Amino acid sequence: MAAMSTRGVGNNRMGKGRAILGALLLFAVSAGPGLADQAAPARSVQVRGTTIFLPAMQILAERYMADHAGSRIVVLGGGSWLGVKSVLDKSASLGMVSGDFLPDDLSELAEDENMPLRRAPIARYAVVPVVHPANPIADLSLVQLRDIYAGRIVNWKDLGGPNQPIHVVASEDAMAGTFQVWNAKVMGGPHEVTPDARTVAPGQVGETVTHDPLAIGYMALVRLTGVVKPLKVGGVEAREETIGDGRYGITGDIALAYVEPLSAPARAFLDYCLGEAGRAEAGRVRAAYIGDRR
Amino acid sequence: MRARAVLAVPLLLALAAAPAGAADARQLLQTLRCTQISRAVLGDGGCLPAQKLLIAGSTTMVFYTRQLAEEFERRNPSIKVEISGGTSADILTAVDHGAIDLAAVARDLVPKEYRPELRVTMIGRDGLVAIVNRANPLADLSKDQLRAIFTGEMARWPDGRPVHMVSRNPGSALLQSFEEIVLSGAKVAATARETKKTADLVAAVAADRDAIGFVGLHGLTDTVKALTIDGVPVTDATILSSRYPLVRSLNLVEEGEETGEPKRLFVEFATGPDGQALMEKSGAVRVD
Repeated sequence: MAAMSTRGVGNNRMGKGRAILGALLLFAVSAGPGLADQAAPARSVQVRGTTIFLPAMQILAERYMADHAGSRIVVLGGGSWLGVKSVLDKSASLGMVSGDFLPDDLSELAEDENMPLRRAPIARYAVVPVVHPANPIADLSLVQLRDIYAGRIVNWKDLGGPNQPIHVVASEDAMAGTFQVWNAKVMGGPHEVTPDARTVAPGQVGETVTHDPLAIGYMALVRLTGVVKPLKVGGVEAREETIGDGRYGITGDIALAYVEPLSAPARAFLDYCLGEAGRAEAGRVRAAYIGDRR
Repeated sequence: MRARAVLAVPLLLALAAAPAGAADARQLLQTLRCTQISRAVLGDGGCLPAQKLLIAGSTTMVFYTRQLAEEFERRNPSIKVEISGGTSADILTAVDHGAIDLAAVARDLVPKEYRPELRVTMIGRDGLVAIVNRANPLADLSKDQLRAIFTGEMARWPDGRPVHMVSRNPGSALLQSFEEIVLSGAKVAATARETKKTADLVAAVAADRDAIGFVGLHGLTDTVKALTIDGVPVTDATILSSRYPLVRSLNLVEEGEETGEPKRLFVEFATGPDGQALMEKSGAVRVD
């Protein structure tokens, strides 16, 4: 844009001067790069998405920054929806996404942008049924869980417990990963959750079950606290090992979602997460590492 | 006058025919509107009308966006930035309704505030540090304990000595941040000693064995001791990873994704090297 510095010509009020300037301007306009092209390439990597994987990602980011001077990895929770959304609108490079769903309101955005969403699986996590610590039940089959949630089994006595009604607690957030996993793996498609179920925010399930000896709910294994009792499913306890080898079946995959082209820093950090560093940190969120199963 | 009109036509034609495409032409038109060249071609009074960029921000963000806007206007003389204040919820509603171009909010959006059309760009992070005297044996507080101290509920240190709170004057952006992040909107107890500047606050804590205060990350000096919060030390890395609890995001929220508009130019400036340097100079942790 050398033409911009021709102040002397501009101040000359002669028509000839302006004609020269006009010619220079034409040249400048046709030869000048678009302003957008001049923007400096992003050096930082933004990662947003599911809070289930957040504690592992935070440590991955801090370790990476410590080992790679000058790198900046910015991590934010916000849920899987935000992970997908931020990748599609390019406010983040990587999305932490639970499950393989593409929310309806975002699939249109994905098509509009003509940017296929890619997913690199990194960790498999468990969703576990939970009851009040005073509940004598310790183990339920997948079929029993489905019948409870479909409203076909409504009394604890039919499961070997006391003659008391079952209070079904379900997640109200259809975007939540735990909801997606439960519906896919327990309800198995056509089975609707009973309308008698009490729906609460995903973060409120533990609190609700803690205060109700007749309740059953479900939550991500990493969210388990001492105040609720996790159940075995078909005799199998949810652990890193049983999740990884497939014996525990109520599981979902967390993927790092992105669209091409990835910036060089984002590509390097993605590779770091999918490699040995990711394997070391998946256990932090009680998940099994699957970054090598691509 | 006639010569000006004649020369203005090739200018517009050139812009319209720019091979880089219409979007780039619009960008050029906007940046050229009132520059030396447009004055030269169109005459001194020949500037096209200036474009306005309307930004509304919460108190903290009005401060940051003013720092950015000053430099942004200098570089884009055809764009006039107007900044007003308000609550985050009102500001987000305003950008939703198209009443403003950019909402500047010092927090992350909650899920119900999000729509697919909204784009949230983080331009910095804001971290707070709780500081005590170097002779104080305490090394860590939970966020809840810190809140209890500054609301006056916890008036003694574990060894029984009285806690001396040191705070900032009302109206300080630092105090406002502290009350929002740590006290969930409650006020610092009236018994706190008030200081006018960060340096005075740090000096007061450095001089008093029983004092506790708070500063932004950039106000921290080695004359005082920074406490870890919930076991997490404050560093750039823990602020960027969101693991440090006393942190918040500084965001610009816009609707749509058109390139070349003043709002897009402003967001690009804010996240670019010079905008980020300004954010850092103003006390934020840079994110790019």
